[in-house]
This record gives sequence, C-alpha cells and structure tokens, in this order.
Amino acid sequence: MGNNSKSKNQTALAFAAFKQNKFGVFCLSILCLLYFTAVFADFISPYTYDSEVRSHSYAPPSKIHFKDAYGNLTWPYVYGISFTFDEYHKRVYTEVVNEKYHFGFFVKGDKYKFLGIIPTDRHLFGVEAPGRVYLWGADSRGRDLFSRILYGARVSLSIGLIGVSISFTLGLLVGGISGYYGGRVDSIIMRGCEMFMMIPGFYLMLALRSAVPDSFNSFQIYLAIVVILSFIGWAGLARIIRGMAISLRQREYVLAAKTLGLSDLKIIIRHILPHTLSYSIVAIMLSIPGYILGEAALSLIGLGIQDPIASWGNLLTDAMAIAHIKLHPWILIPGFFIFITVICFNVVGDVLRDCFDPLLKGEGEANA
Amino acid sequence: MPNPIVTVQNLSVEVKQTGAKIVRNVSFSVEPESVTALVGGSGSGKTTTGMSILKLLSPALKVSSGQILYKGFNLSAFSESKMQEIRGREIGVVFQEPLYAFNPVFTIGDQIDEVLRFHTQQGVIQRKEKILHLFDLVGLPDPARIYMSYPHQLSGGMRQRAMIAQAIAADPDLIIADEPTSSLDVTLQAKIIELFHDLRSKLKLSIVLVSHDLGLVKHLSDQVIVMKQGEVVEAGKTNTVIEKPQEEYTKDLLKAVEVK
Repeated sequence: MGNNSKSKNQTALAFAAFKQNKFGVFCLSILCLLYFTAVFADFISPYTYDSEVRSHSYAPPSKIHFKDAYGNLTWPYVYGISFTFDEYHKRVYTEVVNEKYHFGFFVKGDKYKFLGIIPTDRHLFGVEAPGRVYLWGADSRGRDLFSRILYGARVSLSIGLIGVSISFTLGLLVGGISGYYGGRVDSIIMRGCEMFMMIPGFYLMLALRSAVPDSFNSFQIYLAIVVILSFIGWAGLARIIRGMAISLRQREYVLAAKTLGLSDLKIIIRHILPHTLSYSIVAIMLSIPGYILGEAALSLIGLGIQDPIASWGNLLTDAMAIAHIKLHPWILIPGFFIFITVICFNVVGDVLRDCFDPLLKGEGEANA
Repeated sequence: MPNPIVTVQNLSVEVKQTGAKIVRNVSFSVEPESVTALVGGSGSGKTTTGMSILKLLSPALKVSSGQILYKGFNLSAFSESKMQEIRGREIGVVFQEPLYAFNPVFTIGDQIDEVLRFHTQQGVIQRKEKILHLFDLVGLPDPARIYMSYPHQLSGGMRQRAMIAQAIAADPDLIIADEPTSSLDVTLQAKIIELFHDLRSKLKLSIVLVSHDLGLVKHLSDQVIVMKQGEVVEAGKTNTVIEKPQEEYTKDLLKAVEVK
C-alpha cells in the first residue's frame, strides 16, 4: 500500500513473465518473422503471385550452383531448364548448361506496388532475366511456389487477425451486454448464441459461403470469408464473457460508476470488459489458428480464395491428389507453413495463459 | 426558508419477490448547505434510503410508495438519461470502501477525469488542472503523483480523499456519503469529517451522511434521522437528539459510542 514502485498492472506483469519463457519467445519471434515477410511479400519474393511460365509446370526446386564448371567458387547461379517427356508422359526437367543466370540483389523483375503505394520493379533477390529461380519448385502453371507462399501468407495470416478482431468485438460486446443487464435480455441473447453454437461450425461456414454471390471479385470474396469465419467463433466467447460480466457487475466500482452518471454502455466498455482482458488475450491467441485452418479448409475445397490469388489453403489444392504429392512433393510446403503457424499461436497462447493465471505462478517454468 | 434540495415523502421500499419492506414511510428533507445524518444499525435501511435518492436501487428492490422530490421535481418522473445527467453532476456519492469503489485497472486521475469528460465540456488540460486543484482542496499531498497512481498504491485515508475529490469533481449540490469513515481508523475518521465540514462551507454543499456512529456525526450534522429496521424512530436537530434522546434505540446508539 502506498508504495512508490513503478506502477505495473497485471498485463504488464504477465508480459514480463512471458519473456522468461524461451520457447514462447521463440514461437512469438517465428510468428513475427512470418508476419514481416507477409507484409513485405511483394518485395521479398522474386516474382509476383501470378507471374507464370507455362513451360515450367511443376518445375522442381532449382539447383543453386556455387562452383563453376572448373570447380572454382563463384557467385551463385542457376541454369536454365528444359524438359522432355518420359515413357509415362511425365515431364522430366534437365538443366541447360550453357544458360547461366547469376543471382543478384535488388534485381529488376515484375512490376508491383511496394506496400500498395510505391510502384517499382525491384525485388530483394532473383536471377538475371530470362532465367527463373524456383527455390521451392513451381506449381502446375509454372508459378514460383516460394513467391506464392509469401503472397499466400498475406491472406492466410491476415484472415486470422481480422477475423479474430471482428468476432471478439462482437463476442465481448454481446457477452458484456448480456451479463451486465441480466434477466430477460440475458436469456434472449444467450438463446440466440446457442442457436449459433448448435450448428456445426464447418457446415455453417459452407452454408454462409453458398450465400455469397458469384459476382464478387477476389477482394470481396476475401472479406466475405473473413466475415463468415468470424460468425462462427463469437458465440462461445460471448457466453464466457457474459459469465464474467455477471460477477463483475456486482463490484462496487460498477455501482460507483453509476453514481457518477456514466451510461450503461460506457460502464460495460470501461469498467467491465477490461477485467476480462487476461482471459480474452489468451482466448484470442488460441482462436487465431481456428481462423487460419478455417480459411485453409474453405480454400482447399475450392470455396475460399480463388486462383490466381494465393492463400496457403488454395496452394494445397494441388496436393489433394496423392499422385501429385508423389511426383512433386514440394507442393506440400504450404501445409508446413500452416502447421508451423498454428503450432506457434498455440504455444504462445498456452504460455500466455500460464503467465496470466496466478494459480499457476511458480509451478510452470513460465514464471521461473 | 429556501426550498429544500431533497424532500423524501413517505418513502417505502420493498423486495420485489417477497414484498418484505426494507424502508417504511420515511420522510425527511435536506435543506441547502445543511448536513443530514441518517443513523442506524446494520439493515436499518439507511443506505437504501440514500441510494433511492439517486434511483439506484438494487434490481431486486423497488419503491412501493411515497416519492422523492429533487429541487421540487418528482424524481420518479425523470428518465434514465436525465438521471445520468443528475448523477455525478448534481449529486455525488462517497462510498464506504474506496478500494472497491475505484476500478483497479485505471489510475485515480483517469477515473476522476471520466466524470469531467462526461459532465463538462472542458478540454484535456483544463480537466487535469481542475483535478490537481481538487486534490489540493481535499488535502492530498503531491497531486501530480496521485493523479498517476493506481488505487492500490494509495493508503486508505488518501483513497478516501481521492474518492471525495471524485464526488465533488463536477461541482454537485448534494453529496451522499455512505459510511465514509467506517473503513478508516479513528484519527483519520475525525480528519475526514473535518474535511467534509470544510468542503461544505467552501463549496456550499448539502450532505447526506449515512453512518452508524452517532458520536461521529454529531460534530458535523445539522439534523439527525435515526432509523431502525426501515423506520424512522427519531428525528430532529442534532443537539436535541443527542442531548435529550427520546427513544431507547437512540440511547443505545449513544451508549455504544461512549463504551468505545
């Protein structure tokens, strides 16, 4: 009481504890790296998402050579490729040894707008035209998979964040209102939530998706998918927040806020919802993977993001046929990105929960 | 004689479900710049009476009969949004335990600022100046530090002073102080009562003081209303009630103080 120590609230303390957990910090930095590459995808990737060379269909990952024909170290380069058909009519790619394309930084390539504003044609790295480098192979239309994964990260990673912010705004408000007023309002709202929770998420998603008009362009479809995904998660959250609000509305500072003349909505937003923050932050972290997987599932079955726009889900569409996976195993790479992202979000959420939960303090390594 | 600020006429409050009466036929009026003490033991309905002036009864309770006039207007005719304008702006409340009456996640300054933001059109700088001035007025040292402090960082007495600063922030005419000294030790109790005394003359406040401690209120109040089990057992000028108590219950209350 009455100490002069630097004021730290619960959130600050929890984040201080989070820093102690190496694995959590590691996963968080992977996530940061992924989001960073997503933001600068157009600059980092050597090609744009729709730059295609049909004759390079399913070209394997390029071999990067560090030694010249005489075995001396040189600046890395790739060879041009050409293909022949084998007896099963499968393309067999071979390197064309007299076509040498050196790597370079800030090379000229496809035109794009940096961060959507500045028009430029420089890419972080690439090889001299007309050569093409496929770090992680090419897809059926001869588009660089590495570039498409980076562009796909934009869609897949942002859907999680935007979806979660919509459904949490909705869940927090609805839950807060329901719990704060109680009585009949509460009953009606909660029965409404149960209606949503009753329908299995995936089928609700499919049903809502079928309501989206065909005339939508890719950006509108993207928005529609975000809204559809956020429609699924909010009801469960609203129920939990409502439970917390019921207990919080009994607090004396809520009565005090009323005596100061604050409106109900202000009281809910200022004096009830902030107290659910420690729960919400963890719940947000743990529910983002659901959105990423939801988008991937929709896109995988062709109902989500439409080609040529890339998302991790629709990049995997090629991988639905087992024969393709056997012949071109690199098309599974987007799946690993989904896997890593989901794992990282779960770990970060888990560690955060340990940090926020005072009962676990001192037990886990989170607070050691 | 000027018009009373608040007139409570035959107020009865009951529990909605059972119909049990919490407050029965209570009548009194609060004159401008006067202090009215509602005194009684636990469950005597004094807090309920105080809160019904703000129309902030627990949802389980309702006013079953009688009316409350605020500056001559019947409160029951006021809408909820009209009441929100009155709460804080015209009637301020001081609670018993300021530790619980402040929201632990915001700073003291921020929470007092909330009142000014809602009830006045002042700018950020003006509001901060006003708050620092308020801290000065209620006798808080180092106002700048208090402004940035969280409720748990202040001592009980400082918190109560901050609470009073919040109650008077929007220049109300009436303060309802609900056991403002019960959570404090004896020396602090006297100081807080002194502060009320001070503010009353400086700010021309009327005060409704809810307390169980007759000994404490006798220094401050002009009239005393003694309540027991929801009914007024004795009412009158403070001196009269203290010196010549008519009822056994009042005498008991006085005795309890002497023993202490």
